[in-house]
Amino acid sequence: MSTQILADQILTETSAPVSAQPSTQPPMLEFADVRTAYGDIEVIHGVSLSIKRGSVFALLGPNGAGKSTLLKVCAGLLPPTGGEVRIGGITVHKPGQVAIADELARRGLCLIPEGKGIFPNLTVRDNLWMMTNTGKSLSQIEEVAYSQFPRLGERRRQMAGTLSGGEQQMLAMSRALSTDPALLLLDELSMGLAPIIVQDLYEIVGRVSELGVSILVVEQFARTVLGVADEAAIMVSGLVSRVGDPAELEEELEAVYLGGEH
Amino acid sequence: MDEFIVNTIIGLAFGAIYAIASSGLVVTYATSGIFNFAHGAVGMFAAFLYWQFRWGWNWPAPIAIILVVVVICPVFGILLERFVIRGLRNTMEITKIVVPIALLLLLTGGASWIWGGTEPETMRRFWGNARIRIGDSAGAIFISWHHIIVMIVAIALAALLFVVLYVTRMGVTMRAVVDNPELTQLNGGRPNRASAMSWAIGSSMAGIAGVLIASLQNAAINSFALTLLVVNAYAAAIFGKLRSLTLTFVGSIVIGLAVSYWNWISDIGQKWRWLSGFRVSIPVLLLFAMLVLLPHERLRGAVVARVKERFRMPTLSKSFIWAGAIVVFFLAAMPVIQRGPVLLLSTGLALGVISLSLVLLTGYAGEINLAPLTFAGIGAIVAQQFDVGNSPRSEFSLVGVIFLILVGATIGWVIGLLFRKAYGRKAVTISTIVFAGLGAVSAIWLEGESSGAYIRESMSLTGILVVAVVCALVGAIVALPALRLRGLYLGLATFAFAVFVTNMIFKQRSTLNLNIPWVGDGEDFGINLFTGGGVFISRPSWLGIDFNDSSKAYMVLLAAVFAIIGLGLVLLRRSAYGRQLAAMKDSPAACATLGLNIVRLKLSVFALSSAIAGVGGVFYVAIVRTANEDSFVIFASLPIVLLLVVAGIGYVSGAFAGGILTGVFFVMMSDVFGKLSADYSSFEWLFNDVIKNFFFFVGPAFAALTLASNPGGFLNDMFKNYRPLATRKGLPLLAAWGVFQGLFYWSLNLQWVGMWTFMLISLGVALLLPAIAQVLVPSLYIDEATLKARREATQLELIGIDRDFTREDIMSIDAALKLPASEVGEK
Ligand SMILES: Nc1ncnc2c1ncn2[C@@H]1O[C@H](COP(=O)(O)OP(=O)(O)OP(=O)(O)O)[C@@H](O)[C@H]1O
Ligand SMILES: [Mg+2]
Repeated sequence: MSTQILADQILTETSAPVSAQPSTQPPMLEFADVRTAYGDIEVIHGVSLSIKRGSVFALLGPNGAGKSTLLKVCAGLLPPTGGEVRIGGITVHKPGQVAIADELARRGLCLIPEGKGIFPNLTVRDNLWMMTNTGKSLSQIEEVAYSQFPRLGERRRQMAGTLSGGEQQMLAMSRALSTDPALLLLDELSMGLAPIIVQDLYEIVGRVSELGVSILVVEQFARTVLGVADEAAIMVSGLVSRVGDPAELEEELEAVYLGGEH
Repeated sequence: MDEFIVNTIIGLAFGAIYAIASSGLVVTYATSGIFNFAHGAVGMFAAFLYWQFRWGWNWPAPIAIILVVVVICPVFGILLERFVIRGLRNTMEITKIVVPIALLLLLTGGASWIWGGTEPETMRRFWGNARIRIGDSAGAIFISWHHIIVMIVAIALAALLFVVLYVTRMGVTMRAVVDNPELTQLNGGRPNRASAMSWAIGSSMAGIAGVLIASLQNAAINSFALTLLVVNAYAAAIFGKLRSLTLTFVGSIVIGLAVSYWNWISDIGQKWRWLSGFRVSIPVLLLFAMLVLLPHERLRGAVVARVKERFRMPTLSKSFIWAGAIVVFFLAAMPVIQRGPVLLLSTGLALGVISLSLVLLTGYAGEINLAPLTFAGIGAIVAQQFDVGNSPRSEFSLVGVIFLILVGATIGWVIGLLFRKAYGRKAVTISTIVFAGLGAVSAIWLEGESSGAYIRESMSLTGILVVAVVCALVGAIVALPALRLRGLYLGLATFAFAVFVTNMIFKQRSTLNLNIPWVGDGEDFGINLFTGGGVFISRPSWLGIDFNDSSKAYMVLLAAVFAIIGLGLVLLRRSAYGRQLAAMKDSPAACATLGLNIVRLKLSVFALSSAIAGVGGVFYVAIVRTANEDSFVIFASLPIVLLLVVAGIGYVSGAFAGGILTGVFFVMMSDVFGKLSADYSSFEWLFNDVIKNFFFFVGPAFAALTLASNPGGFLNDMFKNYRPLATRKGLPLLAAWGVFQGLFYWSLNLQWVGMWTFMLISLGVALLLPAIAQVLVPSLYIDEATLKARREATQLELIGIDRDFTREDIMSIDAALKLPASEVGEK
């Protein structure tokens, strides 16, 4: 249980802008040789990554690489079978000792899961209401969401499941914008959306990052994300094959998707 | 008109109570995905508690109500959620069904234990019989205050529930959990807290419904009847698709009114006496209809993770050895055993045979039947008609037979048409054939002499065959509407069927009289189903042995019957048909796309399973030669299902152990402690009042509650340690044990040791066998880590995914495939 309290301190203390942080501080998020499995089948075979405070980190890779799984481990939805996850230098997850997902969420970790990060049988307003669990009031959240995405405001009484794909993604993103997270994990924002909307969404991601939020973005094909990323990594078959500058990785990425050597 | 108003008000009052109960059920199901079979029992228990406080101890009514409904019920709900429901989250479907049923039995057993005395617990209405008068003095109607209170409470609770769910954040969270528990967590919501809250609310509503309906009775209350009364609300919950509170309310009112109007109309009628059980059957009939008619995919609640269980395939040689061992064991027991244990063991074996029907149906095919004893009871009735009363007459009137077959076919055709839209043309064909078959059977039946019933000396083999055929047909008929149902819904449908059959047949007190043209004599259709309140079946006289004379021989016969049917099941499991069943269990949809005929598979497995249950029922009744109306009720079926799941529903051995547990173990334990308390009277409170009653009333339920932690059944776990003994290395040890046991048995026969000593030492040695083996031949047992490593090493297809594909892998594959060594990556 003590890890949760630690996570609390870490997450709330570190949401200050990046410039204010002395360089000696540990990275915001660190995976140290993390392994995990669904049942007997191991899908992540020892991943080590570190995400600096206030930076945008892009994690790229083909289908089934284990990107979403890694985010699940980080958010506390799936226990690691090996290694450690550290936030602000303090261990939050390791085998046999996992911080509870909703505790982490209330303390500033925000994962927008892949696909539909919304409750389809709740109205738009009820969806926003759920976000108040993180401490903001409903009116504050509504204000941010509706000003950022006016379309949601028009549809506040509509069931979220009947929104268009883009509107659903906006609703999901509202949580990232309105709840003031310290660490933001985004899983395939672009899934099934028109390029123009994707561009809009990543513009927003860029703005959020300027507020000092550390962001880990997972994408498959993502020129757009490399534009906002400070650093990037490629993940293939449960292992990180390359970490480096986004521009450098772009070429390499093509090789991975075309099935070449890596 | 006045009567109409009065009956409407009575119906509305009942409907209001059903609405309270069913909306509580919906709230809990929606947030946890667990259907609380015990909901009715919670209401029942609350009513008894209220009785205790209000009438037992004479507390003021408001205090009693608040204590029960606002304190005890919610706390119970929270504890339940925390310690039972939460553990069920990622378990198999049958466990999710069985554990709440265990809870149901725990509560009914507990109520019988606490309030099972001879004094009736009489409830009175609130405000006694005070009534209000509506209308002028000429056509005045009197309505009791209780009915009015009930309706007001229902409306107030509905409003309150609405406010909680839609106007508070906790309510939003509760609805969010239904949609997506993980996302709820990511939003910072606490799914566990929401779930606990919903169980607190649900239990409280069950409690309110229980108290209201029990006091509405204005009479003595009975735990089983009261439980079933609240169960009536289940139909309404299904009508609301276990989701919609509005529809649930509407459904409740409809059920309440339907029961009330039927009561009124049938009071006017009084014509068909045999329909008198119909009133109490209306809600379960509606439940059945609702399950069958509502589109299945619309019945959904919380997203439930599917967990697949894997049962090993039984090997043939071992099955033969086991079958032989069982028969030999009971043969060996014959000389030394006494009469009491013989009857107990026989009961256990007969229940084992009945359990085999579930091993086939649930273990192999993945379909659920919560009422094996209902089919057993039908089998017993059929046996009584064919074996005992009537012997077929020699001269058939062919016209009559053909007539009845045609009538059957027509009925079947019409019924088939009803289902054609849902199931296609096949439904018509199948139901026509099934009903034509029924017509043929009933022709033979009716042609028999209907008068002058005499007790046949012994059970006949043809009688058993007829039982199997009739039960198979009944099973198929029940399965026909239920074809699309699976899991929970099928379980509920069989539950409803059991209650219906109990009301209409097992409790039937009138003779069904009917004259069918061209068939038999003047009054050919006079069936006394359970008219005398019981069935009577003699034991057989086969192979020159009259089993009526020897209970011990009959016990061995039962063991042989069990062994034969069990072996048959093993053979069936290993056949192509058995593999098809297994495939259907895994995924009916995938099977259908592969071209398997799901309809035929399902109908046939239901038919076969019902036939086994029916035959088992005949042998079961013949143990003591008689059974009464309570022998086959749903509350007797449920412990059998429970203990079978505990013992391992996927295996024939599970049926054996389950039968012995139900028929022998718990009875014997309560017996032993009863005797102990007689010997040590100062400890009577402990031995008799606590331990004996524990085993007697709630033992099976407690055993089933362990499933929440060990879903595979305990027997499988126990056998895991014995399995290495059956390998070549373990054989000498096994042989040594056999020799020891043989010599020991010999010494028992020579009376060197007593019966108790023999039993205890034999049991002890058998239990210690794996431990002894571990010391003597440690290499038999490989630890978990090695096993896991070995398993991983053999997963060839995962090399390259789970770990890098190395040069050694290429070489080993080359070697395995006998290819010339390749040059890949040599540099
Ligand atoms: N719930 C689960 N149970 C079992 N295996 C799973 C589960 N979820 C994912 N997997 C497996 O784990 C591996 C990694 O899946 P993951 O979803 O993390 O991939 P991903 O990199 O996010 O892929 P994508 O880009 O397609 O979203 C896959 O092989 C997948 O089949
Ligand atoms: Mg993914």
